Amino acid sequence: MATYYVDPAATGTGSGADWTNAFTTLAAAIAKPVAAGDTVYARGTETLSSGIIINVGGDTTSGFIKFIGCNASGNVDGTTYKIDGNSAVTDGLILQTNAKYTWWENIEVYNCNAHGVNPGTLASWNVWYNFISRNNGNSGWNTGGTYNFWFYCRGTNNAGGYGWNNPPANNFWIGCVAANNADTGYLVVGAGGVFIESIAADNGATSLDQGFRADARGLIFGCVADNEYTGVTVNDLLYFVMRTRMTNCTEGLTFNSSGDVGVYGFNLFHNNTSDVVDNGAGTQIMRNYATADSNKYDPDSDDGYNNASNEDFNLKRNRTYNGDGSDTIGLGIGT
Amino acid sequence: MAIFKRKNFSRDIIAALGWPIDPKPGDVFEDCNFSQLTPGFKIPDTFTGLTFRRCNLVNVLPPGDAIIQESLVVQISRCTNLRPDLIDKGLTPCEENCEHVVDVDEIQVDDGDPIFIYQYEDKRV
Repeated sequence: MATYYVDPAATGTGSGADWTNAFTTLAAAIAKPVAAGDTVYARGTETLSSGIIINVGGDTTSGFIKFIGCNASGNVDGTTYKIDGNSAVTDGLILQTNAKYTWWENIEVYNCNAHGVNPGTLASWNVWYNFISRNNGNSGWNTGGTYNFWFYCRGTNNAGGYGWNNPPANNFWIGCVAANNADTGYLVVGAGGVFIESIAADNGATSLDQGFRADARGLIFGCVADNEYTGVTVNDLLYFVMRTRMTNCTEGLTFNSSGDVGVYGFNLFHNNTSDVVDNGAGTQIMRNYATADSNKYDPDSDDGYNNASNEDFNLKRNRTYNGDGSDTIGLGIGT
Repeated sequence: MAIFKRKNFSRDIIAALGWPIDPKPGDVFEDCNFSQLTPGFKIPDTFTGLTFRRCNLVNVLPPGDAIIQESLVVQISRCTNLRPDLIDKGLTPCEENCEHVVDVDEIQVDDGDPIFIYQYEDKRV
């Protein structure tokens, strides 16, 4: 279980053994090669001339391969390691078949001409923590495998343009944000997608765009869809939408096929043109349907995602980031 | 001077619906998305003295005097064989053997006509 260091500004031997002699690219660390249980710390900004290919992975015996961004002093405090596609590369990170059990923490990828992160369809059991994929020519994340976990990640300002595009079954988002993408925030075609306390806001404006597109047998719990054409679209069997705020949308919650069995309840619909749209005569089980603005902690009373530092959406967390597994999180959920 | 942060001006939002704001010289756009489906969308030169910081400017031609910082600036021709959903959003459908083809596999089955399998990529222009 080795530890390596990456710093594009390093001028030492390039052995990766410490900050002074750090690798100058993530690709060099990956090519070492890193192995299950290894940790790679990275700081600074790396400007890409080609995408970073990851075809190595951890395992259930020795654990993840971890890539963790650090601040200038080399400490883990939430500062991101920046990967700049420089309007030159196609995809920033390319996860191939063997990229399983990898862990990406405090990393930011941007300005890639296609996808910020392009995981192959077999890239599974990967964890993304405080990872930002923004300003890319296509999507923040494109497809991928199953059982991937995103914690507090952001897919924003992508042109192609999804925050997350079409990851298959059984993936999980917790505390994530998909905003300002040209199309849909979270396009999830596979079954079993679970979203908890995640935000979709200000994505594409046409009737084809949604904040969350949810398919079969999944859960949207405690989330927010704001200023979308459709806040949440349920496209297939048995999807649960609960304790979620759908605000300022043309359609708050839409059921799209006759096979839908939607279970939704304890949600808030506010200032939508239509709160619930049933295009398929599916079976809906609805409870505690509320339309009054109950976002009592939002100081600007606009229900909008205008200031990530205030209480918009009741999702502000009192989070202490320690980076060592001892984070404390106050969920700060309102009514 | 105004600073516009985290706004989505992509596609129809400005291309069809018009600008929801009236930028003035010295204004700054931060973390905004101006991206368009097809290359060559021009932001009027009458919008002078603007700064685009960490913005998505795919298929956008900013005013000549604009200051561009840490932004994605590229013109991309998109292929509807890869993204058929974009046809409904206004992109002209590509032919099967279109300009975005990067590889072709020819498969001959018995005495029938060959089958061509095309590989596509969006094209930087």
